[in-house]
Amino acid sequence: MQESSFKLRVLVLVVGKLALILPELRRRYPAWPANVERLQEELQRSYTRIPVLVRPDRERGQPYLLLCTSTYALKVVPSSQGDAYIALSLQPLGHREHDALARGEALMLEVERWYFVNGFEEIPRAWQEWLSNDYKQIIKASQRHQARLRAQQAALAEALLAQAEQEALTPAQESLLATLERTINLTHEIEKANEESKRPIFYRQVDAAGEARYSSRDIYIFSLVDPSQAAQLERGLFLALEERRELRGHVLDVQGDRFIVQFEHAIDLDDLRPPQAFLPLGSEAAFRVQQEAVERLRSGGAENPALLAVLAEGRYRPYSEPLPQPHPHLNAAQATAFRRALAVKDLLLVQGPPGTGKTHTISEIVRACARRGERVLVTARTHKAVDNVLQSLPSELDILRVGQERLVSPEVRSLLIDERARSLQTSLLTRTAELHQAFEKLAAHQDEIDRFVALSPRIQARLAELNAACRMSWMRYSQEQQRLQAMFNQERESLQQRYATSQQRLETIRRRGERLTRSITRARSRLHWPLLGAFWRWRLPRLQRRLTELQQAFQTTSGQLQQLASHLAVLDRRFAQLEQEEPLSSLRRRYNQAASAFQQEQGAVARQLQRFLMELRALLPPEELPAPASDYASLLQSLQDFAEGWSRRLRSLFTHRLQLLRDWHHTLEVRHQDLYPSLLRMSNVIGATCIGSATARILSDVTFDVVLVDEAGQISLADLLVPLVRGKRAVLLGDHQQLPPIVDQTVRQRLAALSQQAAISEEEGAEEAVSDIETLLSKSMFEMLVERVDEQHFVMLTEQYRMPERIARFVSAQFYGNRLRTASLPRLWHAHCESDPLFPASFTFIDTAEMESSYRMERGHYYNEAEARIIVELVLRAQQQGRDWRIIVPYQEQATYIRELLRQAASEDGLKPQTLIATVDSFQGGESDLVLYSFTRSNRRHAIGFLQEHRRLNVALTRARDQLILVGDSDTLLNAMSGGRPAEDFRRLMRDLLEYARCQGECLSFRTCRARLARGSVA
Amino acid sequence: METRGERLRNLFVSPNRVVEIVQAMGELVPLRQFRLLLPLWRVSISGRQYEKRPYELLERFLERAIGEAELRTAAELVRFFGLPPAVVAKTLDFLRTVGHVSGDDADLRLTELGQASLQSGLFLRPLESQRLLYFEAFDSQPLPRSYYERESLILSEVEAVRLGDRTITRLYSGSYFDPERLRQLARRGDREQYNLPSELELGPNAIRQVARAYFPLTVVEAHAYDEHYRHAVKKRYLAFSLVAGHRDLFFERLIQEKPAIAYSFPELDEDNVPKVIERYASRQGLQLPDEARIARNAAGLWQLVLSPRLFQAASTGERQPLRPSDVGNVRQEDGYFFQLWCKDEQLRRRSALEQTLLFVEREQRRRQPLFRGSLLQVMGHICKRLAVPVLGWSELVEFTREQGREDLLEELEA
Repeated sequence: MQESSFKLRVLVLVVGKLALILPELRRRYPAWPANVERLQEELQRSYTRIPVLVRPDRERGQPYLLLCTSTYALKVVPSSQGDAYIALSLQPLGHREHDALARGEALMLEVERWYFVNGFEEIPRAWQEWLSNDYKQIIKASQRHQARLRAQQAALAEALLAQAEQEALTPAQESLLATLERTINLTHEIEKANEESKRPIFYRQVDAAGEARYSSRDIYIFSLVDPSQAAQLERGLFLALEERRELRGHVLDVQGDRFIVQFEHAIDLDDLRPPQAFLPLGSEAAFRVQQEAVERLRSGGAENPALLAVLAEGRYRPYSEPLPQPHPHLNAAQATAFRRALAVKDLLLVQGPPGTGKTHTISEIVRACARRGERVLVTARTHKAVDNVLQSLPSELDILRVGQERLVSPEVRSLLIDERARSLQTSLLTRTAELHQAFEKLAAHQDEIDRFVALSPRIQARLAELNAACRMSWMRYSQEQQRLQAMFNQERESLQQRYATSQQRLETIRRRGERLTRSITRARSRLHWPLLGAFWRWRLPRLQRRLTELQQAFQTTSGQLQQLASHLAVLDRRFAQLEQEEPLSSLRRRYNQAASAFQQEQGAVARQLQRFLMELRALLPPEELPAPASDYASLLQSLQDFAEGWSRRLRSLFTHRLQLLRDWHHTLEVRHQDLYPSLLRMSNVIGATCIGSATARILSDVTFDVVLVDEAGQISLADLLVPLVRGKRAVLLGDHQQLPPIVDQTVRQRLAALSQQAAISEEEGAEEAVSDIETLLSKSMFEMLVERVDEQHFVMLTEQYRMPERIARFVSAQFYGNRLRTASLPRLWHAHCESDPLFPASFTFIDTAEMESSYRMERGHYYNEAEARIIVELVLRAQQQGRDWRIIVPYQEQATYIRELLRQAASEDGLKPQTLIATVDSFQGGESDLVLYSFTRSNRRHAIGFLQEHRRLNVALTRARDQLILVGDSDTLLNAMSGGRPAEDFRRLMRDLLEYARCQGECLSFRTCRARLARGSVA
Repeated sequence: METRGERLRNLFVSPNRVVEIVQAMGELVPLRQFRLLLPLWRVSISGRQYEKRPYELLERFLERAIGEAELRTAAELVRFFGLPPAVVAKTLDFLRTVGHVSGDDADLRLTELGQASLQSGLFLRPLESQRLLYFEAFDSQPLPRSYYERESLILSEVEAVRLGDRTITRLYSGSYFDPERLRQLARRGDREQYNLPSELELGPNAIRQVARAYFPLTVVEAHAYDEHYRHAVKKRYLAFSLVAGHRDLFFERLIQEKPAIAYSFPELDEDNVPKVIERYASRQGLQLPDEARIARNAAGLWQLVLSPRLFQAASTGERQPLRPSDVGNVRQEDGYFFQLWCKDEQLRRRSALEQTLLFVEREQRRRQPLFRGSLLQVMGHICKRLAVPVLGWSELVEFTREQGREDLLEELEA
């Protein structure tokens, strides 16, 4: 409720009277303000916004106002001057006031200022000009507010009503849901009745299975009392204890007379004590899931909340279709289906007549969706159909097949979740084997490292020691060496000096000698001089004496020099040998020892460290490991770093990683099932049958972006619903001109009984209800939807690539409104069989009508000898020609009969008769070059039974790639009766068929056929 | 579709029960009742809660690898576990999305959440969780858990309007919800007692919406008297609601603390009571004092004592204003309590039996299962109210047979 407000700048209140009575009032109501000052305080402080109620006053004629606080109401009347209010009294908020306030009737008065005066005379004169109590405006505003309030409430009531209507389900939706529920209940009842007739499975012993570590104690092994019952058991079978139905689970494995059951919850061994028995609950799980699906649909809890509207009323959501673009692998119609499948928001229907490349289209759609990162469910009624699609998908997609192993085709078994889990397990174990080994290896001598690290201070010390020793001995050695060297140098120097001195002296002597010799020579020459000669004769002997002295000195000095030289030489020699002699040699030896000891130690340590580092480098972050050491200093550093790193961090890191890897391996080895959820998360494409997708436990929480349903024309809604509610959008591919869903015999009988009951009972709508159930069961959802779909949500594939054009033309005209065209492949337009001299027509009918009636009649339920024999002859010929052939018949008995005939006839040819004869129902989806069809029915009443179902004939006609040969009794067929009345539609169909055969193919009598065969075998 | 009477009965405590409870307290006489709709704030909050579920295989191992074994790059994870790179990438993306892992593929770390999760052994996934909390609108005090167990009693504004009954008053509190109260509540250690689970983390913008709601409360004015009920010496207001126990102490305390609520009750004039009862009597077509008398019983409860003659006329098919089964029941007129009574003990016995059968009928109509033990209990209550000795099963059966209503007990005897 909105509040309306009214602004007042000043509210002048005359409180004279109030002041008098307030104390009295307060005796009754102690929580009220003690006096008017307090009152003013309170109002000014907390009530600048105050709700005001307008109350009629019979006495005064004009309404009074109630200003309401949370504890009291102030009753005021306007002054006669219109400038102020008179406070009459304070009163408690009575229930009427509370009610009115709660209803939002009050107008909010926004008072800037409360001004209390005892009497009018106290009002400031200056205010008289502008002061107004706005009484009249307040009254008006209040009235307007009331009116608005009333209008609002009315609107609210309406809105609530409308909302209630909208949330309800429409009648069409209700009706669909009701019918669904009834249908599901009905089928469930019938199945339950079936099951109860089965024998309970007794066991005599039970053991817990699995390691205690993984036991949620939910897996147990049972031994059968009656081993023959093992045949009743199969993997995946759902069962419950007979006496305690809430204890249930499914069979994991069956071996000999033992079987393993995994229960839904952990159970005590005590609860399972034998002798007890199990009851199979095949339908229970499916039933519950179907019910849940309906519930979700009803409550709008489906992944696509609009699904119910689509199914019940054909209300689709519009979407913007991307522009047409040529697709490399798809034709125009297929490309349209492809585009729309990727863009549609709720549901797309694709009709794929035979041979139009449905599987191919599906494959492209799945591929594109998976590439977009969407999760796709591929589902169909049969395992074969699902596997067909999965096989056509490229292997780079992550595909998972969910289903029972026995029922899945061999090519696809590797995609089963169990298989994939196992192979993932193996590959994981293999890929990490090396690493694991490396870890384990290290773990084995981890204590070595520990010791190494523990000893590392000592190692460091030792290295330092050795290093010191080395240095010390080197020092001693070099010191000694230096000392000796110094000594020698000294001596040498002095020797050399003396040598030099001697040499000098020698030189001096020589020179003197030379001078003297010259002088002597001079003297001699001057001996004969007259006067001086006597001087010279006196001088000469002196000179000669001097010379002799000099010569002696020269000799001596030379001798000295020689001696010195030899001293020097000796000294040098001695010096050279110094190294070899003590003490240097032993000092040197000692140094060498020390050095080599040190080198050895250093080398050993470095090597060991290097070894550890190399091993660890593969397992721990390399940046945390020290660099390889190149020299002593860096080795010490590395050693230090390593020791520190190891103790502080690396050891525990290694331990953690080791433990992690061990745990990983252990887990992988024991329980590959633990990989299921991960596989599921990884997979983009999951394939399962409709019921399979319902019952598989691992799929129970999975939702899908797209659900692709193949063979949608053969699935009833109840079955289809389960995958549909799990998908955000869906694409249904099918052909409602081919076989519809099969309704179980028992169900049919039950329905008939119900129908009778309904007819008798007078309950309204009972008959309708039963017929609704019938429709739901026998008409596929596809067919029902196609009847109402809009153009945007429907595509028909129109080009067929399988049948010869001659056959396709007929089928197209009869069943597809002439919209089915044949692709322009040469082999389709000129069938290979045309070159056959005996039976050149693609579309051939062989008529037995001219045979003697007793011979051509049907027997049993039903087989026809005449037709069988013709077919066998044709087949033998085809076999000889090496052609690929199939026989299709409507009745199982006919198939058995022909099989027998073939076996007799072909014992020497090595034929495989079993797989090449089939009923129509089991051959849908298959194809063959040559197809032979036997109508089988031939009788006087012209009864044709279920041949009448034209869709069955459609399937039979559309299997051939090259040639179609039909064998039947035109008399019976053209005059067909059904339920005592002429089967007009069937008659017309046969007329058209025979006419067409005559014009576009061949229509032969059996005689002509036999004649040709005879001719053929002669030639 | 329930009738109006049924709706009211489902919301408010019956006068019978109220009177019973007050009388059991001793010394107080219940005089009149007020039916109120007490204003509440319905606060819609959103917070973060962690969903706990077991770890999936890959989740656990990858987180351990990043957290314990300090593998920091996606490449290392691939190498360590041998997993295909696509699988590792997908799982890492998922862990990032739920907030367990941070950093790009070359520098992976566990977030706080991731670490906490790993330690606890359960995969914690933050979820936005919404919740409704209720606070009374006078003081914004939070309502205790017991009120949430009977949440169907709490009416939305629209429902309260639709109830539009003159005898029920919607109270007005005049204040707005104080968000601080929510914060205070979040800080309390006993917040679970107020329906705020401790695992729910409230962020700064926890309040999404505040709407008005109403709680149906019956407030009873009871007096303690002096001798002969001449003067009231004490006046008390007691509160009753259909939340377990029936006497509502939480709101009783509120009324004491907020005098404004009590002030809103009109003054009780003792002289008025007989007049009110007279009005009722005349509406029922009863002649005072021949057919009915106004009195107070020993416990002080006002009574309209009916003459036995009124019930003898049954066989003649006259129009009867009252039936035997009415005797013993407390009625209220304008809120004032008075009990219909008869001096004839036989009649009162009959009333007990009839009332029991009515009860059975009503339960069957509502398809409620009924057991012998509980029926005997109910019968005991009724007998007490009627001041007759407790009746036994056989007497009930006999009475049923007399009335030709064996079908009622058939279901029971089973």
